[in-house]
Formats: sequence, structure tokens, C-alpha cells
Amino acid sequence: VSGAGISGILGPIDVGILSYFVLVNTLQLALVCLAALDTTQYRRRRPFAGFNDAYRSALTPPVSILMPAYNEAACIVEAVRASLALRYPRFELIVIDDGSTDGTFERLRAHFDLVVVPRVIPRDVAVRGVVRSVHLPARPVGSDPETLVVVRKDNGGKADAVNTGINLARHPLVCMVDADSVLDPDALLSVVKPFIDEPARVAATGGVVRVANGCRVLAGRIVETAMPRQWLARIQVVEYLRSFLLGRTGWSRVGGLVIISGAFGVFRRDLLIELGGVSRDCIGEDAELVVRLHRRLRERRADYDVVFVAEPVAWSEVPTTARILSRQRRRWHRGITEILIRHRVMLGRPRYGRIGLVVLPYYVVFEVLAPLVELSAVVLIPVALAVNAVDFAFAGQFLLVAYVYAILVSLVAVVFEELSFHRYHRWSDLVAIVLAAILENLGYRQFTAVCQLRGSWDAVRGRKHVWGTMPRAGFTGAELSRSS
Amino acid sequence: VTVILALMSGATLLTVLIAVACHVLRQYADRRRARLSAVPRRALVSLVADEHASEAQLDLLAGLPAGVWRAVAPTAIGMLAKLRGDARVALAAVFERRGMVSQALRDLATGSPIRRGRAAVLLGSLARHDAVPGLCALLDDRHREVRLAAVRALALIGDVSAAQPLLASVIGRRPTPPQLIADALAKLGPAVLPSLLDALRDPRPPVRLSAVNAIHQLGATGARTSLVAALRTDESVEVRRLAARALGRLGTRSALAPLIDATGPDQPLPVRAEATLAIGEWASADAVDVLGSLLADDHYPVAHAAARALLRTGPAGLATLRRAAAAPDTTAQAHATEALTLAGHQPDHGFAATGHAS
Repeated sequence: VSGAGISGILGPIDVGILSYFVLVNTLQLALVCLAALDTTQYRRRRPFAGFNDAYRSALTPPVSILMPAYNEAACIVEAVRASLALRYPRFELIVIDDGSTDGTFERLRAHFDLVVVPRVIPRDVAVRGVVRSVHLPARPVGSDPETLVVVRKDNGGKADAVNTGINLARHPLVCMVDADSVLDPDALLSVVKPFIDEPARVAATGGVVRVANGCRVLAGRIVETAMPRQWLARIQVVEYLRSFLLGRTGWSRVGGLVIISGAFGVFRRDLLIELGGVSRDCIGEDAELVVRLHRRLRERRADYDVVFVAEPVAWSEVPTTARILSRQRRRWHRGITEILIRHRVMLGRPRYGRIGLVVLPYYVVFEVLAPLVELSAVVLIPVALAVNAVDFAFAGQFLLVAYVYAILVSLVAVVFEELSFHRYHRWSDLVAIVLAAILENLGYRQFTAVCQLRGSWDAVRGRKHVWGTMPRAGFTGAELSRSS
Repeated sequence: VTVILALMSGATLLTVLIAVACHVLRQYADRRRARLSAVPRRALVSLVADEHASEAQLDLLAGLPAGVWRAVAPTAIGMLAKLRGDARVALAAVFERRGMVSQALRDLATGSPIRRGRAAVLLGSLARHDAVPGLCALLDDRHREVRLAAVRALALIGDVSAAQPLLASVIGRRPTPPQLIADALAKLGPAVLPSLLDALRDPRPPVRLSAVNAIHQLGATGARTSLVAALRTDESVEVRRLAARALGRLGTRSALAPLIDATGPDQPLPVRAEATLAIGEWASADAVDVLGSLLADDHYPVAHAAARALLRTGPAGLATLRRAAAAPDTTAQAHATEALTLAGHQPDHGFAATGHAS
């Protein structure tokens, strides 16, 4: 192939890659703006939304909170204490110990004085791991002796643990939380509120997950929010803010929410049973469940809604080392890829409405393919420059535009955080978050792109699934990041 | 591209400056609000704490400049919902003197959904009967949050003339969930019962759902015959289920037979389970045999409900559970063992987690 031929190929590819960056950021900016609109409305109407009435009403639906746990000894007791202290009229907390080997159950038994009880467990959803025993506190922790239920089962994976919890759940709504999450006191009431306001339409709700690193946790409560000390965690604060909080709020605004984090989501139990529970053979089981829910309800032509609630929040630890972050992102991207492969029949089909026509195609083009395009740019642009396929000054400026645009989108998210939620009060936090928005583009994005690409490759190869565990600092320390 | 880059860089810098400005303004606003609200907040607490509010206290709060009052108004509105007696009357007088009541009445028909919603909250908290027509009109508001604020306000006011508009709103152009309407109807008090009995005969299921739910909350014994009829003949399974639950709460002996009938195998599963629980609600020893047989039901919700119901039926129920728990390994044995253990009555053998096909 001649030099001119290579130039002829590489030139358009490079322009295409750079245009792709601009398009990705434009779409993200649009989602952030939609989220701003939605959240502004939500906050202005909150004074007459009737949260206190919902708390007092006898008709507020009781909720079963499911907390699957695998080797969570470091934080399980605090997580359970925090969940039990939630401001909600009637709920049960079901902790499912999925065969932990680090003393997770022993910590719970010692702290809550658990005793084994007989329990008939309906087989509404198929499970793999055998339930070994069910436990209640010797002295009830609430007015209902079954407010806290701890189940020990053979290891079967997170999805299997959740399915066991669905079988045990006594209430019509099921809330899934992670054992490493700390919920704001009103968080449950807020995510259930859409079910109260529109019980016939709302099929599921998702709550926002924020970064707990750097925050001060006392008795299972976030008592002071602050930016983490590690830059890796700081960058994730910006990422969570832009993509998870505002991105998902934006999608929810247009009826296109397909990801509800397993760390904080509420579902109707009857729909979970109809769907056969959480998929055990998909690593992104939380998102897969939501896509499957959309698929089933669209096929049934149901009038329904999946809602994202931007406030209050669940707080979760994020990785502070490159190795753990790499594992996490690989797992997440593998999940997204698996979901899109599994539900590829929905892509571009009018039958699935905006989910099939807009949202899933977006995820294919701008999520699954994004790392491939990002890394292609890293390789192809220098090659194109070497063979003079593109003008150096043009490529440099275009690349700068793409990255400055990405920084701008993140900063718009930061401004929105300042205007609406204002979780970080200190000047040092503001400086850190602005710098993190810039630093995200200098190495972090490229690093996560490599991890994501490996995740997609894992999905294509169909490698074996394992529980996605992350070493925890635990919530008992003064500050998460400082105690880790 | 150079121009775009320059514009983009400028926009980025501007965004950083906006973030800084927001941070400064927020901190200033927070401090100002805290400063402004300190004195009136003390005056508010003093007003509601004193047995007899003085004119001076009322004048102080009524004469606060608008900016200062804005800082303390959310606290004052929040207090209204929690106060009773003289303290509430005194606080209501402050709102009246500041002209907020007449403003809120006007705001019910304003173009801003935020002002309509806030007006509904205030008028509801003040229990203003003269606001009922305006609030009833909001039951068809374009904005869901405003409609729901109106429902809650009508419930707080407790004027029975709102019953029909509330019932009509569940099947209106913009329907309100029956559960929320039921909650509001129940708060209107026993005087609403005739409307609820009429609604139980309405051909539209959402209206009947609201009515039966409200009757359950009210615990209205005068509705027994209508509830029995609903349990036996209503075409909606959900209405029948809720009728069973309401009959359980009423606890009248004559409802036992229809409830037992509703546990029959030919009945829908939700109705059977609810009827089983309802039988257990009033601890009738007459129901022990029926509940004992339901312990072995193939359906988990029914067998589970029967075991829990037997716990409430006194010594006869406990004896039935003990017999079942001592029997060879069956569904009944598992449910009985679970119930006995939960109630602190140890069965005479070991136990473990058991499965039950649903």
C-alpha cells in the first residue's frame, strides 16, 4: 500500500475519530442540561411534594431492603445499622450472606445477637445456592421482630443472593442496596415516593450513588461531606457527578433510564418474580434487570415508568488504587457489553420505543465503542501525523477542542452541583473538583478505556463470572479515605 | 478550528468563574439566611411555647420585613402541621395578619404551578374551609405535584364536601391514584361514610378501590354489609382483597362466614391470603379448624397467613400449631414451626430453612 493510499485511509478516519469525541461530549452536555432542568423542577416542587405525609401515611407501601454481602466484614455492621436507622414507616432488612469466608456473618451475629429461626422460603424465583440458615436478632431491633433478617447461603454469586432475598421478601417493594453503601436518612422515602405518587405506572426507581471516600461517617451516617484526598478518587467524584447523577437524571427525564445501580434501586416485587429475578449469568445484573424490565413491559405494551431520583443519595466507597479501579471498570464494561449482546433484538426496533430506537443504540455507539475509538485515536493519530495524512496543527487543535470540550462538560456538571445540591462546602473541595475535572482527561480516561476494552473482550469471549469484590476501608473510621 | 478552540477555552474559563461565583453566593446566602432568621426564629418558638400569645409577639412576627420573613417562613409552615390548640391559632393569626392567607387563596388560581402548590400546602396546614372550592379545582391541575398537594390539603382541612370531588378525581382526565384518595377520604372522618358506601356501588373499579381502602382506614362498622357484598361479588380481585382486609379490621362475627368462603380453593389467591389473615385479625376460636386446614395449603401466601393467623386465636390456635409442628415433615409442619418460633413458643424439634413452591 502506497504512502498516499495510507494517507487516504487514515485522514478520514482521524477526522471521524475527532468528530466522534465532539459528538460524545455534545450528547453528554445535552444530558447534563436535561438533568439540570429536571432537578431544578424537582427541587422547586419539593416543598409541596408531601414527603412528611408519605412518612406518616398508613398507605405508604412497606419495603423489603435486600443487602447481599460477600466478604464485607469491614463494613457490614455499620451498613446494617445505617439501614435500620432509615426514616421510613415500615420496612424489613434482609442481609444475604453469600458464603462469606472473612467472618461477615460472625460480626453480624456478635453485634445483633442473632439466633437461628425456622423459615419457610417461597420458591418464587429460582436460586442455586442452598440456604443454610435464617437468623433474627434475639432482641428485636424494631417493632416487628422480623425487621432484620440475616440469611446464610452457599456461595452462588451476587445475583443468586439477590434472588434469595426476593424469595424471602414479604413486602410489595424490594430495595436493593450494597453492603458497602451508606444511605442518607430520607433516601428510602425519596426513592419510594414515585411509587406512592403513581403506583400503577412506576415499575422501578433508582437512587443516585455518590462517592463516600473523604466523607466523615458516624454511626452509619454521613455527617460531613468532603472531597477525597486521593486524586484517583477525586476524579471519580467528577465522573459520578457527570455520568451517574446528571447523565442518568437526563435519561430519566426522557424516559430512557436503563441503568439502576445495584447499590440503590427499588423494584416492584411482583415484576421481579414475573421476570424470574436477577440474571445469574450476566455480570451487570442490575442494569440487565432494568433492560429486561423495559423489554417485558414494552412487549406487553404497558404504560409504565422507570424513574431516577437525584436526591437524597447512597454513598459508596470507590477504588483508590489503579488495580482495583481496573478490575471494577473491566467488570462494568463487560456487563454493558453482555447486556447489549443479550438484548440486541431490541436495537432499532420501534416496538421497544425510545429504549430500542435511541437509548440502546446510544450505549452501543457511545459507551461500548467509546474505549475502542479513544484508544484508536491514541494509535492512529500519531501514525497519521507520521505519514502526513493529517495536518499536525489541525490534528493538534482538533484534539485540544475534543479534550477542552470534555473538561467543559465536566465543569458544567460542577456548576450544576454548586447551584443545586451543593454537597461540598469547602473552598479546597471546589478547587479539587475543578482540578479533577481537568486531570480526568490526562491519563485517567485513557487508562479506563483500556480496562473497558478488556471488559468488552471478556464479554465476547464469555469468561467465567465472579463476585466483584473490592477491599473496603470500612465505615467506622473518621474519614474513609484517611482510614484506608 | 482555532476559533472554536478559543471559544471553547473561553467557555471553560467562564464556567470555572461561574462555579466560583456560585460558591461565593451560596455561602453568602446561607450566612445571610442564618443571620436574618435567628431573631424571628426565637420569636416563633416563643409564640408557640407561650400559653397565651401576646399582641406584641404577634405584631413582631406580622411586622417583619418580607426578606426576613422569607428566611423563617418554611420553619413556620412546618410548625403549623405539628401544632394543636392555642399555639396553632396564634401561628395561624401571624399568617393571616401578614396577608398570606388571602394571597394563598388568590394563588390557587395563579399561572405558576409552584405558587399553586405552595398555596395548597399553606391553606391545608391552616385548615381553611374557604379554600375547599379552590383546592377541589386543583384536583384536575395539569401538574401532578399540584394535584397531589391539593389532595393532601383537602385531607388536612377535613371538610366532607370534598368527598365527591376527591372520589371523582380517581377517574378524571388526570387521574389521582386511588390509594392517595383513600387516605384523604379517611381523614375527612366518619361523616364521609355515606359517600363511601355509594362509591362501593360505582361501576368504575378505581372509585370502589378508593372507597374500600378508606373504609378500611376508618374502621367503619356501618359498612359491614357493603363490604361483605364487595367481598362476595365484586368483579375486581383487588377490591375483594381489600374488602377482606377491611372486614378483618371490623372484626364482626357475622363476617366470619363470608371470609371463610373467600378462603376456598376456587377463589383468587390474593383474596384467599387476605381473607385468611383477616380471620386471624379478630382471634375467633371458631376459625381455628379452617385455619388449621389452610396450614397445609399448596400456596405459600395462604399457608403462611394461616400460621400467623392461628397465633392470634389463643390457646386453641396454639394447640393446632403445636400439633402441626409435631407432625411428619409437611408444609403445615414447616409453617407451624416458623410461626411458633417467631412468637417465642419453641416447637418440640429442631428446624431449618425450608422451601415452599409458590
